Amino acid sequence: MRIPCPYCGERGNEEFLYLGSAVLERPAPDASAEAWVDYVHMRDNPRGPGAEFMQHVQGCRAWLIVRRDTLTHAILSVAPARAARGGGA
Amino acid sequence: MNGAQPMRLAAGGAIDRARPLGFTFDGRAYAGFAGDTLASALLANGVRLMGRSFKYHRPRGPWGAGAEEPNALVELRTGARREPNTRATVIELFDGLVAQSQNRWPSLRFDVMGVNGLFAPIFTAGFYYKTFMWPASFWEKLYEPIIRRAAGLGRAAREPDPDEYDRSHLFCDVLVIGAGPAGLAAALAAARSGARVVLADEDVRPGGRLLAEAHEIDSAPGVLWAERVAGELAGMANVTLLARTTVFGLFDHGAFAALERVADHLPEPAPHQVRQRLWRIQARRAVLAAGAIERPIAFGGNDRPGVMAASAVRAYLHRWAVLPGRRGVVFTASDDGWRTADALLAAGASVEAVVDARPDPPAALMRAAGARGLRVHAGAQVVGTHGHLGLQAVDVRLPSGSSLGIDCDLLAVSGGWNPTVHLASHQGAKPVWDAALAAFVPGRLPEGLAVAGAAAGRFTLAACLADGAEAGRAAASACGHAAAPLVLPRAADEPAAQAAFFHVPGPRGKAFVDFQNDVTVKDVKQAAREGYRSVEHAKRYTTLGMATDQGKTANVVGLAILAEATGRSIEATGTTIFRPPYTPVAMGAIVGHHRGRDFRPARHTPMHDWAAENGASFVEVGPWYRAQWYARPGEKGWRDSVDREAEAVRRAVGVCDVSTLGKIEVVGRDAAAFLDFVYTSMISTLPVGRVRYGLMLREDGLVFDDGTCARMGPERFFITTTTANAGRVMQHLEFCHQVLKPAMDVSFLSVTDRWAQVSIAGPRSRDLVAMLVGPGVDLSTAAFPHMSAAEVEVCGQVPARLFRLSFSGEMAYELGVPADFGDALMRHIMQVGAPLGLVPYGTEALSVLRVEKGHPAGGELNGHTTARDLGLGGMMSRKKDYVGRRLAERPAFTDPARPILVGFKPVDRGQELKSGAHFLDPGAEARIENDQGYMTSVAFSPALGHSIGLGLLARGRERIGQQVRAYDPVRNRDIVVEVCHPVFIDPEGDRTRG
Amino acid sequence: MAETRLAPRSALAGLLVPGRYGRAGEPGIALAELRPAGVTAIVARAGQDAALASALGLPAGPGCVRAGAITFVWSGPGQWVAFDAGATAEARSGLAALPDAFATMTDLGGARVVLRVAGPAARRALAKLLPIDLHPSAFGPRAGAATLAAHIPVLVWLPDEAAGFHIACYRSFGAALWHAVSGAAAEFGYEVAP
Repeated sequence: MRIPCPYCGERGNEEFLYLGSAVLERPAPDASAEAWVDYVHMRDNPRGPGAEFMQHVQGCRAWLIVRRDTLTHAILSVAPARAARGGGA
Repeated sequence: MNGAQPMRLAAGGAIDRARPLGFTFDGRAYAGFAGDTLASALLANGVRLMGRSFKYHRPRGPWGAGAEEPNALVELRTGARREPNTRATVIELFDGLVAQSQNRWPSLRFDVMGVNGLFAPIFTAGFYYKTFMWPASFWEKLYEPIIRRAAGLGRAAREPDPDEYDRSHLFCDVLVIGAGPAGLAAALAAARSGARVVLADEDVRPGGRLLAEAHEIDSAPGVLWAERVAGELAGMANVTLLARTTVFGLFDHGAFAALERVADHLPEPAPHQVRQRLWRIQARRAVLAAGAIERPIAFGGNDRPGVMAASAVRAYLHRWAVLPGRRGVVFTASDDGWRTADALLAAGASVEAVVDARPDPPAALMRAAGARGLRVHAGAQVVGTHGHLGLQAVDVRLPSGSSLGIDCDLLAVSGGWNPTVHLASHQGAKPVWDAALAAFVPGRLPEGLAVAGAAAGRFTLAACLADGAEAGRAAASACGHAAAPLVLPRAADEPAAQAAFFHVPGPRGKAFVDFQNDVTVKDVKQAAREGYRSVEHAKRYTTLGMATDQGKTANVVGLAILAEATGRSIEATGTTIFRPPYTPVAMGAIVGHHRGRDFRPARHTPMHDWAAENGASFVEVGPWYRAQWYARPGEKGWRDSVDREAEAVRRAVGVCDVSTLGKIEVVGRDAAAFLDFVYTSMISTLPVGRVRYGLMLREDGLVFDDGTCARMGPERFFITTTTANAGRVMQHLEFCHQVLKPAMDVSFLSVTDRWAQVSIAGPRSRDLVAMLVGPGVDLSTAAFPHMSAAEVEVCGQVPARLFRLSFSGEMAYELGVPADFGDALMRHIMQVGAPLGLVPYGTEALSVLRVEKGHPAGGELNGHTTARDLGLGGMMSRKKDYVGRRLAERPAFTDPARPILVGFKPVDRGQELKSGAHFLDPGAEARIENDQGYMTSVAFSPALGHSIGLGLLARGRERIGQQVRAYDPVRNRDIVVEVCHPVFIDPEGDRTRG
Repeated sequence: MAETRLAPRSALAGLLVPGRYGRAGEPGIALAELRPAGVTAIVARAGQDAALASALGLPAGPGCVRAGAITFVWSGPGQWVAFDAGATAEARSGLAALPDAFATMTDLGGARVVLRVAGPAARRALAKLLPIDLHPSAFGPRAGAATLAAHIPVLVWLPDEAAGFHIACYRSFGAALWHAVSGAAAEFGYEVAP
């Protein structure tokens, strides 16, 4: 699989670390135990487009949000996680 | 004819008659020419018996002339380079080549195992699943050894492979797979547009099918056109030609894998030359011009030596100037097969008959045959063959039903062409059946791939050229290189109709579908009868398509028979899944250089060479090499060294290379706040110049890693991690920043390799450190207490970082210098430390010391433990949010019955404790329900004179002084141990803080 | 007591012996270890990536820029590594004088092993190790990339064709990188200059 890193360009997936679902938000510290268990342990397994965290660990080390179709492996979009979540450029 | 090669034609062929070669097969010497394959050279010498089949040990000769060959598998070379199951049809002959036939004893002509043919009724489909089942006890001692001896075809070499392999990456705009007419046209069109083109072909010469036929292009032999085009391509800077290269896999997003046989055609690779090379090709567009493979027809005795693919007969005649037989019969269901009759006649052989299974062959063909005096039997079928070690006659069933026997030594069979769709199907899209063509053609194509020529079902020359040229132009254009359409060379479209005719009803004798695995028509029908109706089930039940040729000549015939037997259409039956590799790939080529010591890159500390000079025994911790101990002359075992080192640290002073621990520089306005978020303790309250022990949890509440955190400045922190987790901690910090706290102004930099770091520990450590940092640094406990950090200079001018930290429980320091000075520093330390009794110590002694102090490390930080389990509950701040805080509070983790860290001593002090032992109450039965915990780390304590251990025990602190059982059934040990406090030495910590 | 001077030592000490190696004949590759006078990591403070890049003329994405004897190589968003081949004190002090509010500077002296791979066969040898397109149209003068070389994380850059390819890895991988690079070069013949 080739992942188009927004900084480095298209690279082989062996340069990336895959973390998993990028759709969840870290709950507030005082949120319920259920909310925390869901965040840490429960995942949907979409057949089709989904968003995932990947880090370009053997390249620029940027964390990325990759929208990928799990059925076809088509990469729909890639964005730096930091910018997407309100960090500085 | 050459007397020594009785079947060699006097003229013609693409062989170099000026370069004769000598080779050996089954111990006999033969002669051939440069340009021969092993198969063509053997046939030229009149040898057509080349092997024995897998199950029935039937005599076999070559069916084809190419990579799809199912029968002529030989053992090539001897000694360490011996290679089993190689196809004689693709082995390039070289001088001195040695080959042996396989799967026969004592000889190819007389094979004792041929008697297996008598057991045929037992060896039917699914025989593996029905026999050798009872009694179960016979399996290991009797059945399996017998099966192992009988199984397999060839023998692998036992010695290590002496050759080198490597891999390389290749990027291009257009990858053209196959250098036949379609591929050459595609490559030429794309290359002339300026696109970066790679053209790969499994053969040594360009031309594909043109090499085997007598086709003309521009009124000259087709092979000349191929060479001219290849020559033009070779001269273009934007073209890479890969000969002897099989593209064997198509992967996502334009990635391809190819195997180049760099030196297979040489007795030995040249110096510094690899044997084979794996190419990882990344193409923006690709054109699959892989041609087509002729399919057989299944009839009785269709596997006898002398029964060959009609197209292969033409290849032997035209490319290698070899006559595969003198009296031929053609059995065909296609127009194409008739050309073999013409080719045989032109070469001086006789053609006894053309048997066309179609009741109405094209009139033009019938007329031409009549003009040559060829006898034709339309609507007839070959039902059986005769001859033990080679074909001698065939039985033909005429339309009337009567039978006709024909003496012959060659039967050329043409069941029609199967487009080579494999690569187009590697992503899972199955090919589709084209009833008009009577062939499978590619289905939905992977993105960026076009198929051209025979691989797309265009079986005639002019169509191939046009198809390839357009595909090449379109591919280049899609990459932004506009190309003028190629001016096509002149060529004809030969007759190419074919029927869907796969097997002959009522065969006389075994009718083979899969030659290599000896699967017959009867086997396929039996599988259907027994309920294995899906192609995937029938494949596995019969093993059709599962041999080294992966059913290239068998799959379509097999599924057609299955369709018939299950009353379905061929479309409804479909093919099995296609997977890489297209042809076998040696493991050596996949591994390349990454084997043995080069399996993965090694990491060395700056003091590595010094350690090696000083008797270090190294252990691999991930990619790092760490010194475990430093053996002295006279020491008999590792315990001698380790006990000595640990004792010396407690008594005097020791130095240990701790450079491998992860070191990260955390800097920024929000660095302190960020570290508050990732550590369990408060970091923001840490003053400059002070160090705090740092524990990191995972978000699920379990301990992730531990280390130290030193504040070097208001906005600059220097943190350490364990060696094994350094990379993971860095990824974690980056995730927490970029994803969870993106607005924070903080940066991370790995400085593991910047600092050569040593630990100096023991009662005399301060004296030694004083000698290194000079009189200007006040090392008194008042000025530099335990857990301090400072920037200093060593030997007057080398910038260094000094920390007062202890892992061993003795007074101790860590000193870091820029890595270039690590070697010199260590040598200097050894010199100035000698009068103090300094010894270097390694990871084993380090482990003894920390176990004596009850310090959690790798055995305890195993991903299953919480901070509370390890007695570190007090480090969990209640004043802030941090990673793991919430789930660390879950009931299962705060349960007082949960196993917690305590110490253990053997009641019988002479016994040795083992980590991994599980604790049971005395008298309790050894069952999971009674499990009280387990031993995590053990060591022999020189200070106490006996074995000690740390472990997790339910309600451990309440049980100090009690005895439990340490149960270790895996190693047959079961001893009584005493529960004690985990800190065995200096529990007050005075030595550390003094 | 007289002060002992500690002498620096390369991670490749003893490994590069001048001579010709590999395939006989005219060497296709020249290999050398570069020992920069200084290596510095520059990380832009939050929000300062673009400002820092334009102030110092740093590459805004993968690539390299030479300013006198200092080459700045992009290593990640808002991150660069400066390799100082022997800059004047004035040039160095300019860099060191960068305000903290702009950028964090960290001395990485000794933390990297840097190899130079030059010559007509350099691209072909490096293609065995680097999974990126090294064709001149894709990797020409001032190009750079953070990637892998045979499982070793590296920074690779090409100041210009004459300078050849520069590859830097973490120091501890140095011997492994040398082994991989020299192994890849052997097929083409390589020379280690004295």
